[in-house]
Amino acid sequence: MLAVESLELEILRGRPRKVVRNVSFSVPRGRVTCLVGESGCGKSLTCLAILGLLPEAVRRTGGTITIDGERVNDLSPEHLQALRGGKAAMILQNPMSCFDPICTVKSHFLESLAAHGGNPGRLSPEVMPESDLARARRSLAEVGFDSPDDILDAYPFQLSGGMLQRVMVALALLSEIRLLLADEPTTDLDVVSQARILTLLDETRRRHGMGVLLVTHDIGVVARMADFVVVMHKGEVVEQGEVATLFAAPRHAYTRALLQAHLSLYGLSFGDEAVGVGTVSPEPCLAAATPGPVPEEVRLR
Amino acid sequence: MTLLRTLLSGRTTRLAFVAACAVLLVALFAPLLSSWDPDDIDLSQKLQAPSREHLLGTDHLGRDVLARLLHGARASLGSVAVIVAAILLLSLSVGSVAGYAGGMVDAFLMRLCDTFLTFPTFILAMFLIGILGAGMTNVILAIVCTHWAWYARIIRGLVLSLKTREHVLAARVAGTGQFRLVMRHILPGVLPQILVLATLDIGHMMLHVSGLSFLGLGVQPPTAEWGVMINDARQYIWTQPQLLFYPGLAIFVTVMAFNLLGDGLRDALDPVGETGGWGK
Repeated sequence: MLAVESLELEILRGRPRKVVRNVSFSVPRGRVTCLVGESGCGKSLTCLAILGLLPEAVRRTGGTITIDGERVNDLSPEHLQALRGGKAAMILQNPMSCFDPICTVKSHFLESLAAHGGNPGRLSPEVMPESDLARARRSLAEVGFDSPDDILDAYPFQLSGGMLQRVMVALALLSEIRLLLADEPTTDLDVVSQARILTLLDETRRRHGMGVLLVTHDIGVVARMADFVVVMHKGEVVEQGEVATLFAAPRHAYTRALLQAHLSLYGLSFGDEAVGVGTVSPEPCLAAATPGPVPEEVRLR
Repeated sequence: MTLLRTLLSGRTTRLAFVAACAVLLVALFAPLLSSWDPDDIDLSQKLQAPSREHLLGTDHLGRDVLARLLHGARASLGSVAVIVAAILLLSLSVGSVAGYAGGMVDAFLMRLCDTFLTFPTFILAMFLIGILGAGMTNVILAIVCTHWAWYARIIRGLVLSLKTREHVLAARVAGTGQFRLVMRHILPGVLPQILVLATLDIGHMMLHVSGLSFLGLGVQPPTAEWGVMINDARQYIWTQPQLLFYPGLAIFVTVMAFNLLGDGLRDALDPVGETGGWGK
């Protein structure tokens, strides 16, 4: 679905310096690949590069990115624009700041619809055609909103972070996307919302059969979601593989340190008998990361 | 409506709002408010004291002072409206293109702005009038030329900060086109601040127009304009000081009203200032 080969990114401010070096990985259809690493290791930039959205000061100096057989590097700005939200969508980290504060949720839907097969040119939410409205309602219902119309009429500040993140997933689902990039989608959320969003992402992936690239620095999230893991450190991929293999036998020192740091949060270590030296299973991480089913009374709408 | 309510909650701003509206209404309905023609010369009636016929008296050519004051509001506010509209149009286009496009386009447009910023308003006005001749159009041209670049720079700065906001990135991720991105997500964030600036500047521009007209470079006699009226009344400063006082007061009240309104608008749009919070 997504193939990144030998990606190189360079920051141009001052003396040019490489921030991402020789990064290669792939995201197969219907599977979740997690990109992990500490803050500032180049995860988010890699994600932005995939959609051709690098900031002005960052340049791609090498490598290829292929989405569904199309080389992103070769696409014209118009094709790239059609790709964003059409074939590939992205969920950003902080849902509270990802919505234009002066536009209702309906306006956001209208804009995404206008960009991808809705009624182009119509900019007023009051004249949203019934077919577009039905698509928006269907998408909101899919992410678990019981009364989509209330959500459509709300301004972003009237919704909680968890609700906004679900709205963002709903916006991504407007088109039949094949690839979902999720850049730390649960970092800014409380644990109940985190669990909900992760379940939602998993269900959505299964239903639509899309590939998911999940960027995170939370090993708990990786244990819960990933099929494959790519570990990045200082702009390079230091290790990658299937989640069970990687958790059972981390080869690189950084991966071991990452897992150790996570386990130590729960009073565990590689040396513990319960975990087993050298044969770390994802279970302790999984158990720590999964808060279990959300009780009905604390569920948001 | 909420903004208007916040704006009018302060007594000073409320007063300024009423004064500004009154001047605007006077400018709009000037012909209905006085039966005299502002340019009608009657030398037999010159320098008359206020009477029931001429409420504010007459000037040295026997023209009704009240009629000239009312019509003067049209010339002053009309020219300022044209100037502000032209400045906003030019600076919004240049500023947003420079800020959004960045790189060479930004560098080129900003150097162009720097060039325009080097001209002092009065000197450029005199230069243009020297070439093109005296008249209101050239005064408007001169003021627009010396002010748009300042606005363009501020707009560019605002666009630069707004375009990196996450909601703009999110809109790009959703496949929104560049034009729509600027029109719907960036300019709405820029406009309120620029409107405050423009309101604060209305008084400043009005002083420019009146000042240049006073020097004989702007509105040409016999057209009624406050600066022209002051110029006409100059030689009667000791004998008929009220002839200077009326247009002077009109300029003072209007400039003050728009300045206070701009201040009020800035406070109304700034929720931090309202609570007297950060940085104060």
